[in-house]
Amino acid sequence: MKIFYILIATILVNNFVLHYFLGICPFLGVSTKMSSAIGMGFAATFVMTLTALITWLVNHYIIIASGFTFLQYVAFILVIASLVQFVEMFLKKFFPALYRALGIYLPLITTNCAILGLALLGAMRKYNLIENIFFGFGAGIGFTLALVAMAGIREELEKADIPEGLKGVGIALITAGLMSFAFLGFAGIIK
Amino acid sequence: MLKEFVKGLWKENPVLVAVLGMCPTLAVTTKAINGFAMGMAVLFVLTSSSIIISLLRKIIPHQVRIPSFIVIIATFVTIVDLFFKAKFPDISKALGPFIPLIIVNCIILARQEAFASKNPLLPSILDAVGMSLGFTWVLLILGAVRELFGFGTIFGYPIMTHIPGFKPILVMILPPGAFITLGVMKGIMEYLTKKWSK
Amino acid sequence: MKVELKMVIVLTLIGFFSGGVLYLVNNATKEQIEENLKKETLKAIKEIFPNASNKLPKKIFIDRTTSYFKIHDEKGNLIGYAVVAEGPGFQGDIKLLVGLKPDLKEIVGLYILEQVETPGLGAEIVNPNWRNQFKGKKLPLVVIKQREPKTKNEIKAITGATISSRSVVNIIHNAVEKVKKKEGK
Repeated sequence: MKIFYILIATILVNNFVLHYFLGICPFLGVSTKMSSAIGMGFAATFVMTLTALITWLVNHYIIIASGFTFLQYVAFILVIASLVQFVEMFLKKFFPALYRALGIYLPLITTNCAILGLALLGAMRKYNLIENIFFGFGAGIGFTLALVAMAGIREELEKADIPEGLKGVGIALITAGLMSFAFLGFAGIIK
Repeated sequence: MLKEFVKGLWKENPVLVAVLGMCPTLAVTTKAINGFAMGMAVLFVLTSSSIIISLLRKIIPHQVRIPSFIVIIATFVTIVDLFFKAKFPDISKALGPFIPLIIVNCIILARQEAFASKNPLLPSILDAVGMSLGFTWVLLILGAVRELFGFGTIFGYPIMTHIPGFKPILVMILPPGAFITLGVMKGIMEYLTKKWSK
Repeated sequence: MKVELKMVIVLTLIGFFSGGVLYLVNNATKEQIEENLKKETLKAIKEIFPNASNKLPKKIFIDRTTSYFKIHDEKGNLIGYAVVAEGPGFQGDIKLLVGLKPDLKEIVGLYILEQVETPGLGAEIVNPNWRNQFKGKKLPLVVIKQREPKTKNEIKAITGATISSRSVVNIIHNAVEKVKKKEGK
């Protein structure tokens, strides 16, 4: 049951992008086209779910066990950087078409604050392994949702007449503001 | 030389021009003091990392530069985090996970990759400080505006509350307020840039 | 020198330096950080139990969301329990400290340690004006709206923040049940 709540909360109520402000750089940079949004979203979800799994293991069996809590950040970011590296190599070898399709988005995921953010938040909330994995998965889906919605809107905005200064990032930010306003409405669906 | 310092303040402002470091910019600017503290944390991390990486630039092999940079950055971020937790626990709580998130703040990695790893010590320091201050002033203004309309204060000093009938505009402290205010700031900056280049 | 070897050496050295520096900084700041945590808990306890001894009592853990302290006065008499509990609120988790009489049935006071509720609405749970109504109330609590509390177990919800208010009450109930079991009361 708790897992269901975690999923709903992470995807809608506490959406990683629109509520926690994580993953903004790709959110603004990659959401101009629907196809890139979907690609980035899925790649990120995949990495996030794996990250949730591995950082939980590292956190429990290395950091907490050794008592060296001050090494948590370094350990987490190394896990993420290595994970992305491995995923890249794995895709290149076994799914070359997908690898080519994702292109530069894959290495960009390393600096996506949403990934490190989810590792840190999951650790702070002291989830168990299964809860953490679903938290990571939910975070990825929420991220994808925000990205896809934004891409849809921006593709339409291309045809609209926007003041010079606001074109591009400016109008994207204002759109994001309205979207996050809308998502505020989800708050409270979980008692 | 001075150019390396000044460029981060306006022309190549990391937040408003390069659109980097958005996450902390939106998240911690609910109050001016939080924005300022984040700016100072980034100043420390960016400058220290740039110094080390510039000094080591001929030693770090190209293929492992990203992991090397990341470990160095993560080390300085942990130092800042421990420092805040010990000396400024309230700010540490307010900034929360965004201090460790400085590690993946695109501004820091971008400056190392684009500049510090390719330039001598002094220009690297100037670049780092300039970019950090450019980041800080944007956060300060964003934080001040949101605090002013959302709480009625600036740096904790009540201002708007002296105006009769003033009611704090809640949305300014929530995500929508952050997005929209930053969007407007970006719009203003673009407009000014175009106007002054004529 | 072969590139691969150089790569490994450089990375290892950086790793060692990083670990070493962090170890030192951690040692330098460890005590202050623990002090800060202790001070905050003691402050909360003292606000609820002004007669509590100045020494921070031992924390008794129940599970990852609940722990408690037995509060004694300067003379060593048990004057109550301070329960630290975490639970879901409206926007995120709420962490609170609730003071109870030794019978674990009456509330002495409430202190909110951490919350991320909506400013101006749910975040008002930290406001002493709202928290004060918990003093002297008896468990189990009932949340009511739009009128003043009439009986000893009614708590008036914050207008427009019923969920945050209910969350606080639920967290208290769950935690106290666990403490009762542990103390055999």
